[in-house]
Amino acid sequence: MQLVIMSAVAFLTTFAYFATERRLHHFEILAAWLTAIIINSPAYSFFAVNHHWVSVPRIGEIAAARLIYTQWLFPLYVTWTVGRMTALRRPLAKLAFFLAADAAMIGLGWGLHLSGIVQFKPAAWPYYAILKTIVLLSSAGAALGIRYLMRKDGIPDAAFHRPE
Amino acid sequence: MLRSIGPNDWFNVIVLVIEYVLFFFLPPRIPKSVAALVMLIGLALPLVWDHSLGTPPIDLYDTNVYPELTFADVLTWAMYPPLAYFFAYLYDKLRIRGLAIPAYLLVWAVAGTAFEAAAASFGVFDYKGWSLRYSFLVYLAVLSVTAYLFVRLMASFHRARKASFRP
Repeated sequence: MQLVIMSAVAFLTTFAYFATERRLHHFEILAAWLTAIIINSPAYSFFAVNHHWVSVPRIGEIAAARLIYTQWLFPLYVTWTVGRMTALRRPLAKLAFFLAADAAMIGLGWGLHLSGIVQFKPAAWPYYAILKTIVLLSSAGAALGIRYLMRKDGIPDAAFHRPE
Repeated sequence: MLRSIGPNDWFNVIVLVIEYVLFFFLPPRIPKSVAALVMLIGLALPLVWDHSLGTPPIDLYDTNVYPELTFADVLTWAMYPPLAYFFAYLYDKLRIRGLAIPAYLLVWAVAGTAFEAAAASFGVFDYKGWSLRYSFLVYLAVLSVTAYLFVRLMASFHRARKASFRP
């Protein structure tokens, strides 16, 4: 059941994202997305293998549900957050949105725990919160970095904002 | 925890030095933004595989002798982005088109599998239910995705550049 729910959520969320995203250039989307994967994937191994803070039941369906979440839904969520954050002008609004998005990511982790997809040990939660903050900041940094490189390559700022 | 330096570490270091020397001495050809994205793709796709198939509950292989993450794993990951860059660089330089595309992918998949066999013989990979035959298929899939994204990124880049020069 977890796999069905996770697949349906992934499909609908992906559709919703690409139907509405107007804030980031696709170079920035790719940079933010890949950075989320690059940081999150090894961190899972660090949590699961080095410290045994998280475990996934040895059931194929649940393992697949976790993979859909970590390799697709989570980077999608991070990329969506980076796009929304970029669109905000005031620094305080950015900060408030960042904190809310960060808290929501921890909430998603809690949801995974409750649904039995991943089992977290209590010691994992502080590190999990720090990890999600690092992922979000790094993805935002990657999107900014790629925008900088595009400017250096001679692509003007107008290319970054697709019309609403 | 400190661990003694093994053959896998030497393999990682020597390959890294060769790759990055070549990377910095190659004349620039690909736009910086596209090159950065290709290198990110080259790092992200293997990490997806390594941390999906190489960790519990699937756990088909270990990297760098130990099941835990170690600094040697970071060295192994650092090998991937320049390889993706070389793949895209030659794809662009050799003007790969049409039927040359599957041939180019096949050559790189065979080379990748041979490279992995060498790495495995030095202890960089330790299979526990995995086989080089599967790696070959994974390389074909990953390289195809990389080639597709590279072509799309270059086309998009040239469109944006062209638009910026319009009066």
